[in-house]
Amino acid sequence: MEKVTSGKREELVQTALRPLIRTGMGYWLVVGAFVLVLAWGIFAYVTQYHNGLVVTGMRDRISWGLYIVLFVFFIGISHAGTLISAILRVVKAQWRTPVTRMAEFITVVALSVGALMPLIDMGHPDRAFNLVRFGRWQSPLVWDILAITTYLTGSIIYLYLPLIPDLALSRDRLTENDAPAWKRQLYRIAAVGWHDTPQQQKYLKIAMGFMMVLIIPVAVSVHTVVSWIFAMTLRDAWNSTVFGPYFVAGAIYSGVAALILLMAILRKAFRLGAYITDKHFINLGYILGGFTLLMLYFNLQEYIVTGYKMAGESSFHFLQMFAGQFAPVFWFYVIGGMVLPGLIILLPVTRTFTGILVASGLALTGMWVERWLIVVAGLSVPLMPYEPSVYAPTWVEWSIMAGAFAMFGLVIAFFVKLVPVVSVWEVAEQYEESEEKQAEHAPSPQLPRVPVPALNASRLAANLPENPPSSYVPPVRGGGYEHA
Amino acid sequence: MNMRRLGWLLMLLLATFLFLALARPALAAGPVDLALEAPDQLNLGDEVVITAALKDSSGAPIPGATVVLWTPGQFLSVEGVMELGRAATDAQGLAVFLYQARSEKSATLNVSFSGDSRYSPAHASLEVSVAGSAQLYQSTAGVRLPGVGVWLLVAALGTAWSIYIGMMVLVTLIARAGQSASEELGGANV
Repeated sequence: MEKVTSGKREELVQTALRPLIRTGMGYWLVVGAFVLVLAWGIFAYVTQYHNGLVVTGMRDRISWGLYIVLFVFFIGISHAGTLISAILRVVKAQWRTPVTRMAEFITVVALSVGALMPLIDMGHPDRAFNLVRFGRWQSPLVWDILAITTYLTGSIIYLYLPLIPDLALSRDRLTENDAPAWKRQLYRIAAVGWHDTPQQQKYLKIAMGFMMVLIIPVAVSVHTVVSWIFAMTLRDAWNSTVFGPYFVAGAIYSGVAALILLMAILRKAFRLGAYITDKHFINLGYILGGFTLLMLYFNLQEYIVTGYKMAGESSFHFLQMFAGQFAPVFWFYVIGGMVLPGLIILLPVTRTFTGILVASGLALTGMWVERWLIVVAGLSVPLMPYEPSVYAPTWVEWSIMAGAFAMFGLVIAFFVKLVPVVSVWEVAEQYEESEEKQAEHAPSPQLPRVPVPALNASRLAANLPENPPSSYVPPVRGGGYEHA
Repeated sequence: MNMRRLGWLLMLLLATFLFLALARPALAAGPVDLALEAPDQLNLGDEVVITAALKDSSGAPIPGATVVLWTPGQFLSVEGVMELGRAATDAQGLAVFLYQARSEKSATLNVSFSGDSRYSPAHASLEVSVAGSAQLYQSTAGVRLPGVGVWLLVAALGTAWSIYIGMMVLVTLIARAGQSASEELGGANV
């Protein structure tokens, strides 16, 4: 019995630590591609820095373009993480454990990349200091800086706390043949002397309990404040009282889609199929489907009111979206970004791993387009009786956008080589809990037999292997147990 | 007196009349005195009365004349004259302006009288020093709710950051507990 238990745990540890030890040629090829694209993006940025924003397509009438689109997009997908991870932790969703780490990665990386975008949009980043010098508390821009800083700090803490036992595991298991000295030193410091003692478990539980609750309102406030940057500006197309919840819903929608895609890539790359099963994708697909309906509802609410009244500049905006210069992208957003993903998830025949991936890809692209429509279409509504402006990003902007995505991928690639992509101790704990449940429901000679379907349902919900050892009880909660 | 002489005399009288009629304004446009009175030290946002006194060479007030108050101005790269107001002089020859100091640096205030048929143009200026850094623009839009303001923002942020500091404390406690455990185990991996 003990041998089976240790073997199962060892398999999990080996699978989680393997990416930290071995690096294949494919990884370096991907990293090389990211570096090349990022270098090109940096070259474009240097060009913009030296020549000014005149090298972009932004002008006085449409003064926000691709950079602000990317800012909203990245801040949106950052909700993948913390919010999804925190909500799943709060509701104690059993299947969350192999997913949360990746979700938390996305949050930190997307926030960091997204926060760079307004600095790039300013032309010279030193102008950001003016916001500190002359910023007013009444300005949504100041609120935004405060909210994003708070969210980024909270997300880093929220990523770090559940990492501690796994950092200790890496510290204890990786030898000098497995990892360079600097990496082992990093694990030693970052693990803060974790030995899985009851007292340490207690402190960690308290810390995570606070953070999983706190991070939800912080995350909601961030995207609400981002929406206020638009909604509190005197532009007719942005006059909406539902922008806050609309942005938050859109952020979670795109965040789930990004998480699904990243999970699929990492599962394939690091052979995590035993822990990240199709069931995880289907479950996340259900969340995606739910938010598809919510997004459709918000859009219906937004445009049916505008279209019914057709008042003032709102009618111009309505027409340019439905039948004017933005109609092709708008209809792609509606059909490709919401209706199709919704149908794919709704229909059982397409609700498969591949189907969920396609739905996620469409949803993510659709949400990028939606950000474009909010920013660019909103600014193209004339403020005075002049011809509507047209905005077309230049090669500099497209290159910086490509560089931003490459930076996103590169930092994720760096992370997955630094820490286990699956939360080892949480997965082990989940197995332990489900086995305890199984033991409670196990047939006893003194008691009537527990119906078999109930047992199977419990196991299915916990994403256990089809035929796990009947008495499997992982003996560990995290790193440091080798010394216990 | 023969007719020829009489003709010449009439022509001379006519020429004199025409000369006086045409040259009268020039001959009568006497010098004027324009004086500007304003406090030389102001605080930002102060509203003060500025008086321009217009008198003729004999010291008599000139009523009904238009006096312009202006200051040198600059907007982006364009420099020029920024007119602050214009007023007609009253019976005492006084033109009165209401002036608000809206820039913290010193200002050069100028008054000009462009002259008319009887009086020559005149100009006077005065340096006014403005001190302070008051916020002049107060938005009237929106709704003011008691307790909803910057303190609410500070309270929300303060709560979040206090919890973050609490997390640091808990991580320190984890490290301490680990140190104790390590000492029990013989000092490995701390």
